[in-house]
Amino acid sequence: MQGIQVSGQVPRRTRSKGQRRLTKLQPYLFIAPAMIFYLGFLVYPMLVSLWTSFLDWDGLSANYTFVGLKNYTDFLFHDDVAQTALYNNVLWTLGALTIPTSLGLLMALILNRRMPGTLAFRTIIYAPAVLPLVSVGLIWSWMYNPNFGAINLFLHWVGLGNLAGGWLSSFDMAMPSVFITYVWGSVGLPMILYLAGLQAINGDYYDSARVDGANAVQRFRHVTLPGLRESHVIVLSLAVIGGFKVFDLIYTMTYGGPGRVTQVLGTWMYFQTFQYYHAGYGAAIAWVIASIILVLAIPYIRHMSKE
Amino acid sequence: MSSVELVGLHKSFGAHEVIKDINLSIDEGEFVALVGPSGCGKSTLLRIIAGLDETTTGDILLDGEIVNDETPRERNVAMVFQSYALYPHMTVTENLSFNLKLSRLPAAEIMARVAEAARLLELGDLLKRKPSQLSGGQRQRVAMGRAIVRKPALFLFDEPLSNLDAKLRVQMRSEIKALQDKVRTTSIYVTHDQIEAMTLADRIVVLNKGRIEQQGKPLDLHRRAANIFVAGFIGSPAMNFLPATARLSDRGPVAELADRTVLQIATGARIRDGQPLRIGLRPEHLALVPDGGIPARVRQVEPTGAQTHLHVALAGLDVVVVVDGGIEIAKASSVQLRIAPELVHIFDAETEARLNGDHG
Repeated sequence: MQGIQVSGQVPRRTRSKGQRRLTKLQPYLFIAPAMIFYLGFLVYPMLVSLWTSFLDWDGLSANYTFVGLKNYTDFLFHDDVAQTALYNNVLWTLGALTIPTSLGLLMALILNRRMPGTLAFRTIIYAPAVLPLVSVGLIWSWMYNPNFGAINLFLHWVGLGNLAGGWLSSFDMAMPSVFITYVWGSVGLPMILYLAGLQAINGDYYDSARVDGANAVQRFRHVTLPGLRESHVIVLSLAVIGGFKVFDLIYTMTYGGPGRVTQVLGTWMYFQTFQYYHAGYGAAIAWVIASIILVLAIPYIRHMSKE
Repeated sequence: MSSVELVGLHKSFGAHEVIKDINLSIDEGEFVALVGPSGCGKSTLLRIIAGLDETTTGDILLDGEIVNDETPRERNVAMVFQSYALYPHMTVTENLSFNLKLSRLPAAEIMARVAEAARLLELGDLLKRKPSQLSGGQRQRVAMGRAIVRKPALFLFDEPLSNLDAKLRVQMRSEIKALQDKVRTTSIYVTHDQIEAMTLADRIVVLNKGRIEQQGKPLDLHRRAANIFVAGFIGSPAMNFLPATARLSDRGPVAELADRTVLQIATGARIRDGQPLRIGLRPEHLALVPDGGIPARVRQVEPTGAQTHLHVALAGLDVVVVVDGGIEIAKASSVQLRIAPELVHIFDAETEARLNGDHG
């Protein structure tokens, strides 16, 4: 056996060219399975859908015509229903940004205190969030039923029978009725996210603000709201994304009606693609939805995450 | 500046009583340190004085006025937190001026006060930064600035140096001392670090299990601890305690250790023959002598540079001895120890109260 070298030279392990190449490749080999899935099931379909949006194609036959941006110009200038759908999505998103998020924050503030029963309340309020929206839509359709629905029965029972009506068949009430259903099912998630945010705020900030002389409103304004910055990013981004891809509730509750008054971009895209066999136009609507979400959500997320 | 008086303070959380009958007077301009182990109630007491917690019973008086029902703002106190509690979304300037803005002071006055605090604490270059862009020491300084900018009647410090590394802690300690010398505002400083308390405070109040064990000037506590708890808490390295029996011989009173080793103790101690004792020996008071001392074997040697800490076996117990760092002693060697009789602290083994000398 060789003794310890005293010459100051450290023996080096030599590697062959093949070994060195393998070492360089190693990280890519590790991410390869995920990349293959990502490219095959996400990037490729997206590119195909983008290509489809430039075609006049029924989605079934082998024949198609390249029409350039015609699907997009039709959407913008020649399709009244698309305008109604876009308008509904904008309204829906504004509603989603304000109503369930504010209610979620309010619930979180109430349930963040140490009181008996808070865990039960948190669970009850969050419970609708775990239901599939299709089920939620069906349940609420029954509740809105003009003949045997719980809402009309209740109105008659409390003596407000004159207010009872066909909620989902009314041109004026259909959209608000569906939105109420959405609020019922959507308060739980912001509540949980805000609760997590509230619990992460160091109690010393509140004590410090009290020593500084801040009252309850000032503490909310200067400690709670800034402390929930990360929660706001998630909650508001999800609201924007959810607002433009709403589909399930409209599909199950009104099917875009009465008339086309409750059409949204998601349902209109579905109808165009699978009912009217305008796959190219449907793909164009899908890209309009994606573009709006990207334009609205990404700058907001980047701005809020900078801090 | 305010004087502070706590009268018969009690505080309970449910059935658990954390503050038990605290009576304490603090003069205007005095710097008082509240020390004690974790859970002794010192931070709770500070929060009660600040107005962040309520008392269960008892009164808090500032300048002779009962302020039990007043908010922290009405009490005009400023507090420095262990976590600094700087608002993370505000710049240093905004942190410093937040309280002044809430008080609706004119903008010119706010800017003048912020500039003055920045000058005092050398924060001039940091005013536009946010807390996340500051080092621990800089954050600490901003927290101090936020307190002094208000010109409060009372400063409250809740373990303000605990989150700093050892070197920075020493530096900030002297900065706090210098600042206090400048502003002379009444200050209450909570810490579990007795060295901080010793170096900073005019007076130390030692708390244990919600009660005041002893209060006095730092060196008085070190020299004449009222009981075993205080004696063990004040001083670093901590005092050595050995069980012994009192013997009144012709040569004067002695303490007989478990292995029959006899230690001369000062006359005047209130002891009776055969009384069970615990004697306290400060590590720095034990001296190595060539012969004629108490024999002991070195178990462990811990050089710290200027000093060396020796762990020796004495009467079967581990005893720490502090010797000059220049002395070289090998592990397992035999040494002889001597301590002057008047430096031996004598405590009753049962009541744990001091038996020799006065305590204040």
